[in-house]
Amino acid sequence: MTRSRSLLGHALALIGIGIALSLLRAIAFAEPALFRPSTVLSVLREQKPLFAWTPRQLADDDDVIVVDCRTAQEHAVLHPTGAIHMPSQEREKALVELWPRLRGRRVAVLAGASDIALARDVAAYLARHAGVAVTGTVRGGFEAWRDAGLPCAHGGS
Amino acid sequence: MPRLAFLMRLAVGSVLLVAGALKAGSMENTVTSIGRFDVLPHWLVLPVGLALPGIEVTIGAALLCGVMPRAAALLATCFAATFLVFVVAAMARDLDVECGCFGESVLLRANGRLLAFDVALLVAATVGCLRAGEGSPHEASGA
Repeated sequence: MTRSRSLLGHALALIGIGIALSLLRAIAFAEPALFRPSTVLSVLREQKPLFAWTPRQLADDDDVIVVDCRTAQEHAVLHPTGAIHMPSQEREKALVELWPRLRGRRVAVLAGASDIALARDVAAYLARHAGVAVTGTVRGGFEAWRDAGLPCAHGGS
Repeated sequence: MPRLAFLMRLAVGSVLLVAGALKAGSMENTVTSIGRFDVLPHWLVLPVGLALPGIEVTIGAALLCGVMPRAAALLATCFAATFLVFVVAAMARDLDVECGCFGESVLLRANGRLLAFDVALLVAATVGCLRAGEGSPHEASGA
């Protein structure tokens, strides 16, 4: 009994020391910004989880809007049927027009297979600024969509 | 066996110390990563994200130095089990999330490799915990 009590005491002591160290680190080394209300709000907004859907999952789900963030040329050559084009370089401009269509919806961002990081970046941007309900990326990018034999279209959208 | 437990505690202590130190370098990133796992209630994410690096460094240092080894090994086991729950939850829900385990310097995605790493960490921490107090010079000296 005494032994387990001392074990608990030691564990609490270690946690206490750890919390004190963290606070010291945050306050003393230029991270007071973490405690500002604006930062707290931004962190809370960033908390929306980001999903990674397979092309097949998306094809079976009519509720999800696919946003193609590749270049205009790539999009014009071939893109998933029904996908909305939002080039990553012009996301702010495109969002002004697309915002009403995306708000409150589930959105999957599609990029090239080698540009998944870009898709994540755009998805996080939409989660922050477009008021979408749920965001995610397409696993394997456009190449996975095309290779799965899912419907594609030419031209702009 | 006591030597193995001691080595396991050293290994787990090193991992936690490095992970905590790297996380402390980018605390905002740590908070965001924890939030993206979508496991904790939102109000708890910020305090947990802020406290985690310091606690990891403390547990890691305690394991390496042999200070309060039983408590440190027990906490390390709890932490490893919690990390595992986070990764399994993310994988089960198809979440695309970077674990933030080692701050921004090493970006590991919640996938099979990270799962294997967390299982190994949990096994090592459990072995260290079960035999805590045996094999470490500190405990052997009766401290």
